[in-house]
Amino acid sequence: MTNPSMPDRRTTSGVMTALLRFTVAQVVLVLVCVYVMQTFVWTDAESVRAVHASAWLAVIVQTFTFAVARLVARQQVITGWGLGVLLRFASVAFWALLGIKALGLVAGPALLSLVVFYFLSTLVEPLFLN
Amino acid sequence: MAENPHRSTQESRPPGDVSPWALAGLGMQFFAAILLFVYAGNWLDHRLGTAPLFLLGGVLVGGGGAFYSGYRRLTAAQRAPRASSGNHDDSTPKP
Repeated sequence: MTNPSMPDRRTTSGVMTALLRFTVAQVVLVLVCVYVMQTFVWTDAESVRAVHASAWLAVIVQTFTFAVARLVARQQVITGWGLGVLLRFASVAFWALLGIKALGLVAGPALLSLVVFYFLSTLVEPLFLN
Repeated sequence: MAENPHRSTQESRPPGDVSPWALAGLGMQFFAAILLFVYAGNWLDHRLGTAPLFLLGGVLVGGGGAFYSGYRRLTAAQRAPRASSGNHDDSTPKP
């Protein structure tokens, strides 16, 4: 007798494994990037605080968008990818219009670093989407 | 005969499906455009003392433009295989 829940469990564990690998990869990328930024680009305390806040936002948003993209991409790759990009862009717009003011961050470093984190994540994302 | 190794993978893809690497290229273009506009907006704000007016404008214009460009390219890529398969059907010899 076959268990009908087996394939679902297998695909769910596949998604979880990919999500875990992507999260580890992007955290390493973001950490390296934060180190480079706070050492060579924005060295003052206010800018470093802005970069750290953007790094947290990037990791949270990217983990969520990757999970969505991975789940939707099984049916339609373009829809999954498009959703991921839209969510990321929405988070950039939210950060620019509300988040920076609410947290009292320096706008330039906060936005530029967030977009750099997203840009780098799109380099590694296809490795884990397949 | 040696065959193109990419041919089989392309043929196994459903029509209109785009490879993840092509999407990654589009994604990089998308965020590179935003990065460029945000950087330009930040620079202008520093020069003119209008912070954060041009920075916000850069986010919206760069993001909007890049999304529109990506959307057009994706829809064109989706349409192309369908059009070619339609032409293939029409290529049967007519009396």
